[in-house]
Amino acid sequence: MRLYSEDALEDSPLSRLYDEWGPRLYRYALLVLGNAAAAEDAVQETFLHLTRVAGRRAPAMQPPYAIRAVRNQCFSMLRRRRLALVDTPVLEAVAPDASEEERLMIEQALRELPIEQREVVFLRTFEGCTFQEIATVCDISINTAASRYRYALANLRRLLSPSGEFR
Amino acid sequence: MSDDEIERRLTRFTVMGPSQGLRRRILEAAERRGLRKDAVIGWLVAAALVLCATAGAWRSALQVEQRLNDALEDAQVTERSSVAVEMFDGEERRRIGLTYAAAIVETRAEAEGVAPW
Repeated sequence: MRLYSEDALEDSPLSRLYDEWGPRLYRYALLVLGNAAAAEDAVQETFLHLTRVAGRRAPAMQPPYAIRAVRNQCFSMLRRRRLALVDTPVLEAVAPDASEEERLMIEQALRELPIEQREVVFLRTFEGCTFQEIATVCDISINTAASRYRYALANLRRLLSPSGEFR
Repeated sequence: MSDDEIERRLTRFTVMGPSQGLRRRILEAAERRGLRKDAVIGWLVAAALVLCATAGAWRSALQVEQRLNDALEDAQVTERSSVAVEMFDGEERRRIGLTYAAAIVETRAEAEGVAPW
């Protein structure tokens, strides 16, 4: 049974919200959960939660709140169940000369990081967030956000160095 | 390896985006949830209508009782003695109404300084 036409569905506030935020939230969820199916579930639940809260009004999201909403969902999923470790590709090359071997190495190094450090790396490096924004998203102090990033870089240095674990 | 070098190596890649199907899946899930919500609202409205109908019938019964009381009250003022006789009527509901009416008769009679029965 369908009450709304395809066009109405495509033109709904939710579809516009998804176009604005969906891919970014999915990327965060994928990096944190390391599992494409679980990341899709997390993003779907986040959007449904937002529409439930907004009721008949158009749901709205501000940058820190948007990522915080999917973060809560991801951590809730991690608490509820152990996610199957599936070798879902997480990264794709941007640089034209990036090799598959290099991609696997970076990806494996990111997977080795604790989740708290991995999310800070994502927000800082891939999303370009400030430490203030990271602190808001993760509900931590700015100093803690900065120190998590430093620890993450130190770990990545160890994991990516020629004498490191993946070389 | 410096921090800048690590960041440079990371930014040669990006985290993969969602599949094309995710958008459609979310929109359809939201629509299904909306339909379920509409169904729940429908049931609530139906239940409210049944309650209103029941309350209406109850109110109607109360109005009948009120009219009976009013009639008894009018009757006792003009026909006080007959009210006293009717107090011994076997019908429970009527007896209660008459008891109430009798009390009013006694109060009014006392105020008027006459014998109630």
